[in-house]
Amino acid sequence: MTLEALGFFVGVVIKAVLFSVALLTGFAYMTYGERRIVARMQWRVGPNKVGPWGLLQPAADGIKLLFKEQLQPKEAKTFLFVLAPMISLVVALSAYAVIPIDKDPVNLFGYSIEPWVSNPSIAVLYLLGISSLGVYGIILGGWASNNKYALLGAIRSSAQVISYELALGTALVSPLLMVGSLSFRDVVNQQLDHSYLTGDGGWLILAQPVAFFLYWTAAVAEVNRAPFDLPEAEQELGAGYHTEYSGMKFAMFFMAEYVNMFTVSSVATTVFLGGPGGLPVDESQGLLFRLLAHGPHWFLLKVYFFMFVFIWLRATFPRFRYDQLMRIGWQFLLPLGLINLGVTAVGVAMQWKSYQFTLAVASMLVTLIALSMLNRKPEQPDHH
Amino acid sequence: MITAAKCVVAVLALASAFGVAFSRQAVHSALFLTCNLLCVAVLYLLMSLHFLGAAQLLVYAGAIMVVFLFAVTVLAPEDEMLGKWNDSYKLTGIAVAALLGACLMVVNSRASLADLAAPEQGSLKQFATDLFGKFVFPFEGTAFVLLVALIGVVLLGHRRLRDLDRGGPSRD
Repeated sequence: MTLEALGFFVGVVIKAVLFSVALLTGFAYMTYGERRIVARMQWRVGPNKVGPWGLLQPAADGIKLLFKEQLQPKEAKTFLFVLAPMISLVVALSAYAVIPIDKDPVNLFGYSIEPWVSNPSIAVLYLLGISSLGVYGIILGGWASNNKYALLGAIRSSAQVISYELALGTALVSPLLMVGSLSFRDVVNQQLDHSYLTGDGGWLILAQPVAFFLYWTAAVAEVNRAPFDLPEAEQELGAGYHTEYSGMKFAMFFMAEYVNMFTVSSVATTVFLGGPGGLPVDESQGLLFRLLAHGPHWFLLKVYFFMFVFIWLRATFPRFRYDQLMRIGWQFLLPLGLINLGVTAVGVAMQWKSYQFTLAVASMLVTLIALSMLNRKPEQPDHH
Repeated sequence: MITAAKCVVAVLALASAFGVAFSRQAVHSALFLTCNLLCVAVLYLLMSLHFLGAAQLLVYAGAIMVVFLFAVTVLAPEDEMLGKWNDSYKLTGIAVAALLGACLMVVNSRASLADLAAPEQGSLKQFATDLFGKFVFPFEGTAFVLLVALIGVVLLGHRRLRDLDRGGPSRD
């Protein structure tokens, strides 16, 4: 092994550790933030006793979970019972490897530091593939618990994740078709370097609003968050697939859920909101302008905005019924995604500018709404 | 370095393949199969076949095996299969394995592995051009076959469900 290869290897390991630590710290403070924000939305106070403003609450929770007794049902399959939360967490963390948190490599002390762990040409496929493995943790956890509610939660979850993965993939294809690459770095560069009016750039949420809506809906369903949190519907199933888990094993499922939320928020940021891009200023005019133009702080700002939306949705919407969930996924999101994909494909073939995509997608929406209104059945009077 | 990694992963793939065949529990078999598919995906990645590796991960490990596992955990097939395993199953299995092995050996002796040299890093464009250019007819043909299979499944499943709804016996 040459010295250069060794340096590369060490660099990747250090970056992976840094990303993992950042994600897990982020997880700890998201639980705090979620409790405070939901409390505010529900006219309560939330945790405010541990430390100033309750800021040490996550640390207290972590210590409690670490020292809690590890319970396990007598008939549970021990090996898989222990393995399941580990699969969930490892898969959730490794999905983050391909997301760039800045536009270009940074020069620091003579080293060129790349702000991503890895930049393969198939980044999007890698991310979709890895995150589709997360459902193993849920199925195995639910099955190995030997508890009917856990199994029901696991079944619901896997059916839901498989159904919405299709809508998610279809929604991502449209913006990627415009970029013509599966690498997140190319996606970011095209959005930041090209113009919205005269080129094929600009934040892709402008050119692909329908795809963004589809992606976000499917992503909320993918991470099993409200209003799509049927796998852990408290009223019906106890806590779904992690009913029987306690202590650190439960915490691992919990971490995996939040890391998955960070991942889908980051993908939404990268693909639709220009990733680390900020204000349209000339970055060559000094450090301040460079920071205004793009940087990890912009990326974090957008990701935390999406995390806030997750919490907001949870506090706002009631849970869907299971048949509604399936109907939304298969009869609404997927067909809409395919139509949007068709329109985008025509646009790409005719080399439209970004704003023309916006116009086309808007007229597509108007047409579809008009058609669905024409197609609506007349209201039947009730005969009881 | 890469060769060593390839060897380790290949041994893992082989071991998990044996695990699939010799596990007592259906769930363990399914998990070994997942492990096997992941090892094959890693082998593809080590050979710089990035797209193939990701597709393997996404399609087989991420979707098909999940449905397998789903069915295995819910239906508990070992209860149904209990007492049904006899020598005729084993003989059939060995015969199929021998046939497959023979096919592989014939194919392996005729193929020239020189074509499989590692492609360029950004091979995705080349792959897409080949898939939708040179091989577009086989590709569409495969899609057609899959569509036929899909319609067949819907038809068969639908009939059985309809019979169950009527309360009558299932036709198969």
